[in-house]
Amino acid sequence: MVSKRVLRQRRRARFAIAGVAAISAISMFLLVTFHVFAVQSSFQLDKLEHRRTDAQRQNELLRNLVATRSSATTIFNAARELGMVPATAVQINLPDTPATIPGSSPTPVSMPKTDYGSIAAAAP
Amino acid sequence: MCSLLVLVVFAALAFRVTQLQVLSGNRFRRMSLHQTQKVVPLPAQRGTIFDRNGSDLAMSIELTSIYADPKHVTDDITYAAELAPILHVHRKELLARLSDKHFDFAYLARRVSDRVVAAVKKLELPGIGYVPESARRYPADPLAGSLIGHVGGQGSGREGGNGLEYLYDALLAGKDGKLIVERDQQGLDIPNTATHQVEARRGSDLMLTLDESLQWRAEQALIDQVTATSAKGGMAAVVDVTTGDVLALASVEGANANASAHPSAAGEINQPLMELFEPGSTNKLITLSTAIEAGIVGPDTMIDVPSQLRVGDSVFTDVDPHGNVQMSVSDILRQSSNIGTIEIAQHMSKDRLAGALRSFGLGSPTAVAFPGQASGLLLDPSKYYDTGLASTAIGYGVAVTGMQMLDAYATIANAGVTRPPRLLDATIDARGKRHDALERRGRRVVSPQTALEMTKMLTGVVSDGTGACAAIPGYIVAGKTGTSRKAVDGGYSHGTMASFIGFAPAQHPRLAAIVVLDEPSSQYGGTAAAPVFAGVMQFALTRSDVAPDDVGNTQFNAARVMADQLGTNCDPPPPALAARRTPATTPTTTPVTTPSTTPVTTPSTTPVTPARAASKATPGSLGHDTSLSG
Repeated sequence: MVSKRVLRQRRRARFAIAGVAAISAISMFLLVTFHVFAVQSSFQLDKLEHRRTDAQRQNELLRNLVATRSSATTIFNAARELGMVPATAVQINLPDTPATIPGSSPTPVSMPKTDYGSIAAAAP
Repeated sequence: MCSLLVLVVFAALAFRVTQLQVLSGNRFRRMSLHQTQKVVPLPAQRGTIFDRNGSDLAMSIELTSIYADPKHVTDDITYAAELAPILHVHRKELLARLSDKHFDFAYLARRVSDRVVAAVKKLELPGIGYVPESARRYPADPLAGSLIGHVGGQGSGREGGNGLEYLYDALLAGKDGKLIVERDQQGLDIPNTATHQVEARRGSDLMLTLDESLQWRAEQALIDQVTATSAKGGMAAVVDVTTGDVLALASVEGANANASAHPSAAGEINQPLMELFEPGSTNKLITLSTAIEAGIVGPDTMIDVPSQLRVGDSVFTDVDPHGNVQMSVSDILRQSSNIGTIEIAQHMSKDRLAGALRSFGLGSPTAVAFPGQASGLLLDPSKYYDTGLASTAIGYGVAVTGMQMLDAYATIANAGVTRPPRLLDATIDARGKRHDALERRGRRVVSPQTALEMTKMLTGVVSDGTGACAAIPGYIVAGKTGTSRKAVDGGYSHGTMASFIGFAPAQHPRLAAIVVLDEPSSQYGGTAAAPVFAGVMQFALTRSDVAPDDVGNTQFNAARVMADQLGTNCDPPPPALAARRTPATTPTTTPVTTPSTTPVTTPSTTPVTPARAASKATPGSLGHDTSLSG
């Protein structure tokens, strides 16, 4: 005759074992799942890494292309192909009076570092 | 007995295990690793060289090289026939590489485009492989070729090279990484077995002070003028006198039997930094500013200038013949009088003049970092001949680089304080962090008052003197012409170095520039170099958003009147490239002519032997000239 106390202890032990087994099973499942996802992610990462490398490479090639096509020599040659010729004389239109800073007394826009003001007057 | 046998066997095994694991363990471990592991180098990407606005001047890109493993190539003849038209390599050459079965690797084509790679892959030929390789590209080529240089080692940067690529190789190259992978019995890599990886560290980028557009403009202006005047070459440089930034550094080679005038390529010398010449009249800036600084003369001091001046056994004359006249110091500079300048120099000691040359930076390389930069030649004053002081005062007997002379004028423009020029603005490391280049501090050479007076005098050279063609509408230009005979084999040739150096706006100097032409047909700095200066400086001023300081065109109009009086044509030369390639559309322009009023005068007296003029200790290239002037 097994006492109730022993039976209770046995039941508890079975529950404990079942619990541990369940936790172990769940842990194993989670671990396997995690591992599967990790591997999957690593493949994904690897693929993305390759795509990044390819994109970088493409970026460099395109940058080189843009730099070559926007260089002064290329633009000049293209312009000439289109029939444009360099100007032989440049006409610069200047205001009659020196530009002034808004809200201030009529002062030349450029900030003189040294007073060379008399030079203009000295020039013939 | 049996137990003893077992004991002996185990003892023997234990001994052998100890021998393998302990005594020879390291050696076997190394052998094992050698057999199973392979170190794959990860080459670092080389840094980019930018101009000041971020335009790429030199950059690395990754291309693909195609190789073959001849041992796995099944049919050499078919392979060669199919690959030759795609790779643009001769079939026989391909056949030779494919049939050499001694090796398991042979390049078929290196650094080819993606299109070529795709076409080869489409053939699905066994034994053909692909390997990425870095290639150096210069998108603006041939712009600033001699300055930027090139990379050695097939673009890998591992050997040789020149120019800035060579100078900053340690910065640009970065640090290679490595990847360790396991390999199988056949030596092939086993995928996903990378055990240890050291990432490659990308090289730093260089941000130069150059302005690509201005550099191109300077080179084109030089090419046009070199072509128009049949010069052997030319150089030009533009610096910002407030920061020392070198905005353009152009070097052009003249036309020869095989090529038209073109920018100096990588491997050719960069003339503004490496070519030495005697400055001629542009050196009068140093002589006169030293005299003014020492209180010997002032801008308005009147000096009796005879028609000729005997110094030792030599006779010096001016370009424009004149009788005994009185000239102010300003007039002496304006008319570039050799005699007047020598008379002033005779009031100072040889040591003072030599010291002034050194103070202005002559005789030592400029602050610009560049491999092979020349330091110039300055004589020891104690070794001067009798004519040494006179010759040096007018720019003979000294050898300078264009950059050194520009440095001297930038010092005057910067109120008497040197502004060390620099080509490197900043570096940008692999993490994208910018490191500004160190700025060298300037030192005072002459007082602000002397610099101001020299500036006023230099504006007169453009308004009413030999430099009229350097005038720019809207701006007041200060500058000086220079024309010096070229030293050849201990004497002087008829060819000249024609130069103009100046800065603008004179009231608040911002940019300084030099233009030098090597043996132009028009000979004079005022006719050959000054128009180029005007074109380049005008472009530079407008590009740098510098406000005009002469809205009434006072100086420009006066200079044009002066040029008309002299019969000088200040128009820019016809565009050389357009003239060559599209002759039908080329506008007709009048070529630059030599002013009829300033002919080359032949000294009536016994010419000085140039080789002996300045020193008894110098090579024959140094001396003086008595007939030419700016």
